[in-house]
Amino acid sequence: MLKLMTIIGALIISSTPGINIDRSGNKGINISFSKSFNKPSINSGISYAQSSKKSSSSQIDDSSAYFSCPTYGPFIVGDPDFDVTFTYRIFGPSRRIMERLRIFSPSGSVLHTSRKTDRDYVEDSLETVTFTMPIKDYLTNKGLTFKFEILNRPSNTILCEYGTTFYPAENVNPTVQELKSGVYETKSIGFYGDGETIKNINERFDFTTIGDYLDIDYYYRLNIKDIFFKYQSSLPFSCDEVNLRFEDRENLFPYMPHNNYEVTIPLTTTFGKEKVTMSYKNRFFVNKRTLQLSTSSAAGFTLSNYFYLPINGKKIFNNKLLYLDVVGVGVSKITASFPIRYVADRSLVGLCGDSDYYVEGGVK
Amino acid sequence: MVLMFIALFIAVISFNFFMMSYQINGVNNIVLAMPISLYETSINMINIDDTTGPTFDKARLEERINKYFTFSMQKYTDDYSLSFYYYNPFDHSVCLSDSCHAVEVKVETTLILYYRYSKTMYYQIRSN
Repeated sequence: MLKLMTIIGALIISSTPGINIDRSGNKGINISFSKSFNKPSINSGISYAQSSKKSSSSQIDDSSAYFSCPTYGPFIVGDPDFDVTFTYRIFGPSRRIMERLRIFSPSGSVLHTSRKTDRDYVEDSLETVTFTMPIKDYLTNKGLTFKFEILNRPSNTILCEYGTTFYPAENVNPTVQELKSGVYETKSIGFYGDGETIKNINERFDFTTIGDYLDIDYYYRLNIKDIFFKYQSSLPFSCDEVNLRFEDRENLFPYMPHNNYEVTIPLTTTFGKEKVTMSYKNRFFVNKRTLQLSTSSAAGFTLSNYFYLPINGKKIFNNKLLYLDVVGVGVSKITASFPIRYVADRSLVGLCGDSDYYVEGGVK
Repeated sequence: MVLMFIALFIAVISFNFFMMSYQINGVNNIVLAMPISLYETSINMINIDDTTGPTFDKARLEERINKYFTFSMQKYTDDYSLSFYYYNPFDHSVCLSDSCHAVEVKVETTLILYYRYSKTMYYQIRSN
């Protein structure tokens, strides 16, 4: 009775998508789970492969497989060929197999095939195979599509196939409007195997977090901790340069270097939890009495990590347009200049109705 | 002769009272009209602690108040003293740290006819 219920249960499970049953061996019924891979991912800058593990023949129905490979990419057109190593395990009986790597044109025709010699696959063994990926000849701006296949020999039926398309990393120049209209996503520029399939690697930039206004509670210091953007990718974050720039025709900062009436403050980026925050790259010398800033030491100036705004400069600096210049962000080398308007409601110290703090007193 | 002596005495007394009135009025004006900006500009603006808020820069405050009185009082008297007492505005306890929010400034001077003038000013930094 128990055996009958087990068989009925196994039959129900085998008809459910995403659940494969391995009936091989003498250890009873071995059930392994696999996901459906048709959903494009929008998280973490990783997309699922365009074509992933398939079950294309009756033999595959009874076989599931483990598949993995390290991270490869990004590449540029003209890069030398590289070796790609695939690791796999076929859940099924011992059989004779052949491994094959094929390169396809954008239209789907086969451009290149690389085969390994036939071999005997021992049941459930973990195998590693290395192919040379001929990107020097075949990687173009239209991308490169490849498939790694494991064929049953001598019937040549495909047991498993894993493939994807990746593109060369190239500098993109989206406009500020494009960047601020939503999350900006690049094409796939790399790939890796996660144990089940090949996943694409791309870059996602979210500059919508940079507001049009830098709304500060009170005029005192130029606080940039609220200026940040998001970067999502499996690739390490990189950025060539970030600067904060504003026009100073009124000479509110007489001791700061000016370039064509503009003051440029170099910033440094910190990446953590998909968030890129900014801080001042250099320290400033500040006059304790006037809060005037200088990049070099002088009498009456003390070293500070903050960018102070000069006393009595609120009327001039308020509503000033600041520009956040980001240069060469990510592999895609995004460069843009984001305008941010500085708005401070009150002063830090001043009149009672116009400031956060005020001095009160008199003779008693 | 007696009348002349009495007239001279009255003139001297009148002059002294006039001088006293002139001094009291002048010193009082200096104290009462002391600009509050002297205190506002003596607030430490560097590295303000977000929890405590801005505080007085003791050295700068004392320097400024002293300069103000030195410049203003010389017309009336050179004999005056200033004392500063920093306190916590919430419980009026003495503030011994460098971050004080309130100060009491006491001006004492001896005017003509040994008249002792004394005034105390209280200033504190308040938040909105």
